[in-house]
Amino acid sequence: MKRLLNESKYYNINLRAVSKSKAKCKIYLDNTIYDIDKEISFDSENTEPTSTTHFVDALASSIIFSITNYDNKHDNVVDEIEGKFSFQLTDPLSYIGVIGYDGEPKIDKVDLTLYIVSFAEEKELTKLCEKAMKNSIILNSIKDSIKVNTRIKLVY
Amino acid sequence: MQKTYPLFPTSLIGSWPRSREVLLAQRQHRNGKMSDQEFNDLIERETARIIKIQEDEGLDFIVSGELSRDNYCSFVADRIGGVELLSMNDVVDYIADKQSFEDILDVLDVPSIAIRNAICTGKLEYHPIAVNELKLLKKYTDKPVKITLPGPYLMTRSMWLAKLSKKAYSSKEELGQDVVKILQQEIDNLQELGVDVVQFDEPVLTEVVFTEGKTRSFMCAALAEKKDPHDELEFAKSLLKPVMDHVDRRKSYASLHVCRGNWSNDESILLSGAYTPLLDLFEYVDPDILTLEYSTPRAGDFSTLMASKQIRENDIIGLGVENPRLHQAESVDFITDKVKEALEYLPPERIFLNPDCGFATFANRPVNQEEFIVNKIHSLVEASKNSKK
Repeated sequence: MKRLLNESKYYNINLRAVSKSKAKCKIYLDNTIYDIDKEISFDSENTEPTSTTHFVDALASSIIFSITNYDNKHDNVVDEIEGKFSFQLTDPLSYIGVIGYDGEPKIDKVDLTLYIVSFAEEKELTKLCEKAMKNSIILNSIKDSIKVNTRIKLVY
Repeated sequence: MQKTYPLFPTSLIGSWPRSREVLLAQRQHRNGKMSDQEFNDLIERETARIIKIQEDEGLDFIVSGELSRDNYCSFVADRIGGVELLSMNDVVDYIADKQSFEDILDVLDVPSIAIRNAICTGKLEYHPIAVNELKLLKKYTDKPVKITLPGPYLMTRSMWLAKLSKKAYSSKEELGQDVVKILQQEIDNLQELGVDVVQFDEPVLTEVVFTEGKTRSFMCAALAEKKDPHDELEFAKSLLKPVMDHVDRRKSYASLHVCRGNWSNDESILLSGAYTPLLDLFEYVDPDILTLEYSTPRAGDFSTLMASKQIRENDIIGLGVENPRLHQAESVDFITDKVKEALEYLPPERIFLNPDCGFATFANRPVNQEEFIVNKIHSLVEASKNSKK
């Protein structure tokens, strides 16, 4: 009984992360196994996802899904949606070990523009997004530590 | 051209801001949520209204406003077979300079899904392009009318996306030949109905000569693959010449409109430079009218265009005297001063007056609003009258 009550309140996601060579991190998650090579890359030519890109795309897609899921259940007025996200990483130089920089590197701000293709009015869409984003798992998890500035723009 | 027109005749370039109702209808129609009949009825009502505004204000050539078009070029996807309307989001994988593309989206403050290109995905098949617009014009006005079409170089360059277009054509040159044939068929149909000016829009020519290897690929997804400007201009000439020559000049004026982009209200990021690198093309293509922008310093000095003897002695200049992106109407004095400058080189019968470009080149990103446009038309017409004195 206690277990059932627990499961109704909490859902656990379990994974195992293993680093043998220190060069990469292997993730074992449910039925999926994948490698992450770096925590972050400052190389503009890099094409491999990093810990940081996984984090930012998780937030981005979580917000988008929260809106499309909410809209599917309620108003069904969103035809298409595109989010433009800008993440600000503070203290990148301390991360790469530049002498004289010792701040804690962290993402502390996200600027987000949500372009929504819809027949609805902008006010209606803004309300819809505000309600929907309350159900975004990732946003809810980080909103107290990262400032998220959201702008909504209606596109005809 | 046997018809005669008043001195300093006035016209708009072509596009007019769509009402919210039209913008919504465009999308509903595209998504199959509005019937052809309902959509066409709305376009007809709105076009008739815009024609009346132009007539009331006294413009000499009337345009349709291009209201049913998604934008000045991509609308051909709705009209020509073998062409699909793809958003930049669909084709971004094929764009070489993605960062530059991102920068443009930032400046425009638009999503990638809102910028659509007509991409060739099969053999082109002719269906009327602007014939319905002409029919509406003829139904609602007895004044001379102008029809605007995307030029063959713009069409070919924006349609060509090697990975998708090679299913039907081995090269962009081969595609270009069919584009020319399509436009020739359209010219035949337009001239049969009766059209006073057929204007071909070729803004990408300035992208070729003024961007020095960096191309703002929102205009043409595949322009990143462009060759050096000389080869591109030769290609443009090979497409424009047979189209322009196909216009029966006894019935209609053939006009070539070249601007430097009309996609932002920020003048500092738009292209600048005199038309000098295009003079050779202008001479070779030999339109009746060169419809060019001259209202801002970005276009260079008028004298640089007049360096061409052929242009100076033969061509009509559709003189751009108003910035379509400015809300404030240009003063009558500003426009008449521009006319005076042109009169130093040209006889009055070879000076037509118009804004630099359209007011809503892209349907969902108009650069001006109707209430301001009416004032601008008023100034244009008044300046024309003053210039005749």
